[in-house]
Amino acid sequence: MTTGGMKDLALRMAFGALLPVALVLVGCEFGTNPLILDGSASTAKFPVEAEIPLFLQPAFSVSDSVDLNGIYDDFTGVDSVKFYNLTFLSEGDSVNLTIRLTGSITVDGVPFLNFNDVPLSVFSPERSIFTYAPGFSYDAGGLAVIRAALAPQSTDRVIRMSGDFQADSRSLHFSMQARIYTQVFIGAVN
Amino acid sequence: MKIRRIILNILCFLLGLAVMGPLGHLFAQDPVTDALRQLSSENVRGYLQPVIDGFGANLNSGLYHSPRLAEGGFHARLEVIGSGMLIGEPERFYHATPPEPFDRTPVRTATILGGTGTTVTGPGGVEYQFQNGQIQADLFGLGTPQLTVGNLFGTEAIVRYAVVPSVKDIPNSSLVGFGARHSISQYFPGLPFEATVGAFWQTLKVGDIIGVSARNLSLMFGTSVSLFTVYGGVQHESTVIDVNYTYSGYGSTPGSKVSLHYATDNVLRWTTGFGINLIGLHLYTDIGVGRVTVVTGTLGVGF
Repeated sequence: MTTGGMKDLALRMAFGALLPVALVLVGCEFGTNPLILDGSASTAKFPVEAEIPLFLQPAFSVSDSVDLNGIYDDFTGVDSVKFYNLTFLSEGDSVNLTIRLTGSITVDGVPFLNFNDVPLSVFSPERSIFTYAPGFSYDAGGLAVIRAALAPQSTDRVIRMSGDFQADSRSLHFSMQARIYTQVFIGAVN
Repeated sequence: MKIRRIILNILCFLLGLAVMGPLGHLFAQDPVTDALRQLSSENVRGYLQPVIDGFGANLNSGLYHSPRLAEGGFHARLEVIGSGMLIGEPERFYHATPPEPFDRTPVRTATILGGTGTTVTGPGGVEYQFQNGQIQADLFGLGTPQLTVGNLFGTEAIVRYAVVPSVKDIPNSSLVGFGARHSISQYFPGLPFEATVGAFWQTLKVGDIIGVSARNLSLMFGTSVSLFTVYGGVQHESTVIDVNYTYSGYGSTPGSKVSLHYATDNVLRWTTGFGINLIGLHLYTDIGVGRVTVVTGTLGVGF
């Protein structure tokens, strides 16, 4: 082999060894931040089916328990669950959705939602309690109860929502739902 | 933890066929489909867009190298191409719209390649945090096998083919691509450089969930001195990615079908690079600058 040929071969070997270094991928880490997922919506359901006689006040009461454990149970490795929205939904035919309600809903006995002559149609379709509606308001105390129940250290994640209402109709055939929306924080891998 | 595993599984796939197996085995225990079911918000598109852009750019990289097309006679090379999108600030952030009941003004937050997601505060003191970034990297890479055979009338054929069978919970996937490159400088004797035009089409499928289609047209120039080669040019490329799955998360109804259609923002890319042709061994490295920047290294064997 000539001197030029040796140089040529040496160059080829040197670059052959060096160039693949450029192909190495560095600095890649996965899952260093917690993963945030939507929790399944927890729902309190209040079906109302009543024909109230004339000699009684057109009033009714509802109550339902919501087990928030399910939000934690849907995932493994959950660090925390944070509540970020609560909606109210009314379902019924067009006549029933014109019914107006006055009353309130408590959560574990703490005042939460207040209705003052509010038509059911306000909550059809589903509407956040944080969105303004005439005659409707919420109490921060109720929010605190939900937050406390969702806390990682909570030992009782079952809350009870109860409501007492007066209606402007004696024929009541509708349902109401309160839905709790959460974010689930799942621990980082690293 | 299954969601994280699945998302990482997808990402491992996107990070390259070569590394998909071991990483997928580390993180995967549930089907990819389950992970996608959790990707529900309207912001998913922006969150994943940098990965899609990078995937498209990587897929369209490393196709054209040697300028000695017309004069080289018969040749056949088997190549492994490693390409990586450089991850900068534009790839780490996007603008997302908070959900109700928060102010719907878009906020700047992390993409999947970013850091901590932005937290917004709403009425009643409620807070919503956008998804955190899940990959911390400076390079988003892809490995691709390729066979180049030529030449016939100054034309060479380029083929990409890889099939990865379903392994555990990683769905089966396949990559098929073909194209051609033709010397136009052969029609202009005396030109001090080689000029070629090329076209390539490829498709990649991941189970029944992800379908990728990429196309590009190129105009490349190059010349060789001794064992060294320099080349450069421009290519027009497009990549579309369709994701189809059944969504079962927040706000879904039974059997909710979700179809996401992504188109990459990389349209024109300028490429420059150099290579060395050893004895039966071919090494090339180049950089492509467009909507994103991609570096590519190619190791080929053949003649």
